[in-house]
Amino acid sequence: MLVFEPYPGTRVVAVPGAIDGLVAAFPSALRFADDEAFIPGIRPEQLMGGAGTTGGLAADEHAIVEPDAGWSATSCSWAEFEAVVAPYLEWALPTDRPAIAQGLLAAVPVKLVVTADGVAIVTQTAYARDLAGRLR
Amino acid sequence: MGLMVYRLESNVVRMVVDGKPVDFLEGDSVALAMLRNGQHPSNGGTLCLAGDCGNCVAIVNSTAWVRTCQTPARPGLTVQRHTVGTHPSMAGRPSGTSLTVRHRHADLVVVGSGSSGRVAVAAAEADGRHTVVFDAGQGEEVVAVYPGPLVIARTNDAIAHVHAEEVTIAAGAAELHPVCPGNQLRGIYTQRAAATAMSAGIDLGTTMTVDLDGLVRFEGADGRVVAVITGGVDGERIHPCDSAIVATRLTSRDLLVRMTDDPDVHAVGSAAHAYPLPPVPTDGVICPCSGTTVEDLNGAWDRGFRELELLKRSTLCGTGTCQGAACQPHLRAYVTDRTGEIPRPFTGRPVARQITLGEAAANVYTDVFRHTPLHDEHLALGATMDRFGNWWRPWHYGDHVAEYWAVREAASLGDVSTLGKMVVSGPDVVEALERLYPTTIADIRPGRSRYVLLINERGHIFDDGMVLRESDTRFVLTFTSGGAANAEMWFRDWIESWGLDVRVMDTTMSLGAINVTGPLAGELLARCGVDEAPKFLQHRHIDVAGVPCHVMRLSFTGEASFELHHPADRSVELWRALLAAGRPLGVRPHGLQALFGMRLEKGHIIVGMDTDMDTTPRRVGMDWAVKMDKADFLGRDALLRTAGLPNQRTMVGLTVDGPNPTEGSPIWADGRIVGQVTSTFFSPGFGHTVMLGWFRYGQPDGQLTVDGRPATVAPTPFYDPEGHRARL
Repeated sequence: MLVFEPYPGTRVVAVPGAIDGLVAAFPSALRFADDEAFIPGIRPEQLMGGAGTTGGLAADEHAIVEPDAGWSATSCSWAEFEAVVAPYLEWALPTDRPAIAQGLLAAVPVKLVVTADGVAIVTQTAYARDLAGRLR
Repeated sequence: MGLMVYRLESNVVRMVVDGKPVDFLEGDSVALAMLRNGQHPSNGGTLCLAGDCGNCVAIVNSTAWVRTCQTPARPGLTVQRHTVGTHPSMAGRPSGTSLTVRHRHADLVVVGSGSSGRVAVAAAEADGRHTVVFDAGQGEEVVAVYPGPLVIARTNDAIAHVHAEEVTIAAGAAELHPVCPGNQLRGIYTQRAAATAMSAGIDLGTTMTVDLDGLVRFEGADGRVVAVITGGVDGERIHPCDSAIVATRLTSRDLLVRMTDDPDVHAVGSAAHAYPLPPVPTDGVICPCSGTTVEDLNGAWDRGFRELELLKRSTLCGTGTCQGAACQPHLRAYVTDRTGEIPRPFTGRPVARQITLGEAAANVYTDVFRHTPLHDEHLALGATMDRFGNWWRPWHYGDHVAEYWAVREAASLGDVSTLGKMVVSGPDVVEALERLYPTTIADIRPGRSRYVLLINERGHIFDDGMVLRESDTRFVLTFTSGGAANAEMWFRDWIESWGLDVRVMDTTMSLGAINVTGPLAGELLARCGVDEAPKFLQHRHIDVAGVPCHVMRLSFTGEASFELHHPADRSVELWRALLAAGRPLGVRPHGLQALFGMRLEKGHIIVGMDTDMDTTPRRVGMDWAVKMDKADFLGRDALLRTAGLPNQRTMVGLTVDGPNPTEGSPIWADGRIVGQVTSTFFSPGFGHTVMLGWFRYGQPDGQLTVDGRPATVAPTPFYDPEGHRARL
């Protein structure tokens, strides 16, 4: 059974140009949408440094930058993914590497971070125990 | 031929048909084994032994509607014929097995591995395309094809869902069945079926092969065919026989293609061929699955059902086990004869093969109900959990009355992490909120908040919550637990439609929230390091017991209340700290049962519970939450238009002695129903039941009763109408 661990970070909603800069500055950032990104392992104060604001956020004075402890994640190799996760996946993964895919997995909303080495499954903690129970 | 006969002497080698052991040979299907023993696998009708028709279905190992010609015989198998004239019982023995769905992805799915199928596979693989092949002969039956395309197949160990770029149906062609009097007798075979039976060593006796064009009827004795009657210009001829064989005429197996209009699903080979229609049926059973006769068709036709799809629906012809494989060509011939035009085949309906409820339900999940960060804390405290608003929530902790008194007289904690939460920011944010909410927003000062309704273009309430201003261009919004997702879509849709410069972040699941409520709630916060708690309808960011919180002063219970919104990963720490600090104050958690009762005492509605889909603010007495003097907001035009109409329905407060009636109970007056109650609660404080309910037709005359007891209209709020306690 997959074990989900807390996956805290900072979530940002800002104009797309600001998110572009943020994603460029933080390769680990997960871009959920044109105007939204989640940067795992980063605290808001690391992004909001006043005049020296990191990653292009200075481009948007109205950006919403919030700590976000609502996520959980687990990683699996491609072999594990094929054995445990793929049978429950109704949609095709993107072919690009790396890539982020978003949709339902066993009827639970997830974000899949697809890399050459494997797949990280990110879901909101409120869903994590149900998802783990369904991926058997 | 190397066949091994399983016999009783070997102790494990017979299957059981209708309670009696039956021998079979290695390689037999159930149908062949039964024929070998002189039995028809069902109760009569032409056999194709190819899985096309429904004339061999039986109950196999407690599963009904199984095609016995496609089921290998094996020792111990139990077979029971369907009862003539009725549907088989569904009360079979549970299989005890758990089926799963396996999703796969492919460039091409090919259904059938005959010559056409092999050609399709070879061409695809030459192009480097990933191909999946399903062959019923290998126990992989495709039961449905949906747009996508999506192919559903029953395999030996799971239900396969294959998501394909393209689907090729290469299922070949089926043999036509005869339609004439006597076609439900035993001993009638299609030509291929007869060949299959004979090659298996089954003695069919004296056979008579007949073409559909010359066939008049079958004659029988004791349910079995004894003669074939043919006709021609020289009259009828009688052909005595033990078995009748119908000469092969084909029809394409295109049911799976007809299930979808997806352009990426197509047939090849015989499955795509347009075979000529059979002779027009004039008598006999046309649809053996549904028992529809040509006489039934005539009756429907005379009543005006003169299209193929209408005849199908009015007579059920083509709606049974084989989904028209046996009857549709004859039905089309019937319509063609009467209209002069060949009708298109009717739409194919899933499933093409009978599946069990277990197969249909495999991997069908219920909605996922979310867990708050405090879920395990609630369980440890003995909570009874229930589902509400897509969340698991504590209903009570064993004594909802004690929880009630803790709120009313001391301090209590409630897990309100489920509330919808959103941050909105941007230069146009005030403009957006003014349009979205019916109350004024611009005059809310930073650090202040306001209760708000959300109404749609028709002026109907669909959610409520709080608006909390943090700065000139930034607000925090809250919504109901069940309405949060819809509210977010509503906000995003309208903001984008209006082209306003506003950012939206849903923080519902990022933040936990604990409601500290009761007359000692302020004291409890003080014990947790809060020197100056916000006053009523104010809010501040403060550390509580070392946890950063957005503290919102409001009230749903009627008592002083502080909602502590905080990072979800600090919830347990904060909850435990509050319980520990509040122990000398008599703190205890409360569940929804007590909360719903207390809010009812305050006359607060719960949207979706007390409201209907067409509830306006006026109907629930909340005109005060709507500022019609605003320039514009969603629903304003509708409210203006309906303001001049009579108010047919009104929400009122009611009381009744004794325990609370069931929510939804009718309100009676002078022997007629004048409305219904939406919320009821036996108030420990008042010693009687308080309720909210609807009068459907204005204020009724006469004595009101609910649940057979006299009820009295009472003003709301029932509790602390001046609202002093919330401001303590």
